[in-house]
Amino acid sequence: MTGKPVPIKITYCAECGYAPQTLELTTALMNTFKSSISSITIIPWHDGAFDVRVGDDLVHAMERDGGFPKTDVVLDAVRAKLAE
Amino acid sequence: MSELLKEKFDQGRTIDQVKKEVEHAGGRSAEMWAFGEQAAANADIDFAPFESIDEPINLLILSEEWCPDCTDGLPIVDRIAKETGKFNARVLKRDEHLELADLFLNKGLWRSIPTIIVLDDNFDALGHIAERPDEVTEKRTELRKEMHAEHPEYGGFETRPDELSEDVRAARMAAETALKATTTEWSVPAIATWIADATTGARTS
Repeated sequence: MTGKPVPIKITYCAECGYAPQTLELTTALMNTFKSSISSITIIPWHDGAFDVRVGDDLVHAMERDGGFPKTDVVLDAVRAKLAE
Repeated sequence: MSELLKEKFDQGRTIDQVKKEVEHAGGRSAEMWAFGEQAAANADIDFAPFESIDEPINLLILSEEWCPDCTDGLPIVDRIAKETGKFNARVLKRDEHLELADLFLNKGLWRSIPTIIVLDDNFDALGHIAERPDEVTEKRTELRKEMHAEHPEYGGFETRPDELSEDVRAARMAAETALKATTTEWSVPAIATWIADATTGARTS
């Protein structure tokens, strides 16, 4: 893949038990993009949050979009950012 | 469907059993349960609507012990059950019964918890409610907006946590968590009314 490595932030509700979904998404990102990701920042939060930011783009917010993101949606967002 | 629901109901734990397990496990879940139980015990719950229920109603509840809405909600259901004698509640772990959760999605979309499934005598589902009443969500959101307006040092209501410095984020989370803890005086009665609305149509005189 070409393009500048992409930073990713995952904000998850720590007390909601969202760790498994967070780790599943993180694993998929690491395995798919390897060093094309510049960083993955995992932020424990509260209030039911599960937000995924790819670069400056808020790709998924549980409050806005409902539920958890499909992994492929996040992977495609990273691919699109890398192609810029 | 009723055979499945009866089978699931029979597999369930009572709320007292859930409480014992949570307390035995200790940690954050036990703290949350203790808080929820005290809030339910101290709140001014209107039990009058439940008097119209003739025979005890079966409630099948999907829950997880780490879920704040569950540690808020189950003690409320338990208090109503013990004060009125109108509920038989059984609790299943949502993550061990995902196929059941998918039959009773919140707003048809999400596997929210707690999900309270109201059952008739034949264990057919009469309806279900999930998570918390919309009015509680909306009122808490308004209170958070007011807090942010009074405390701009928390970064602003619209600012996402990942956009904040670590210090500001920590201060904001502490403030928002503390704010939520102050809402039980009105949120517990509102949740009880929501449960009453879901159950009193089920078997009433």
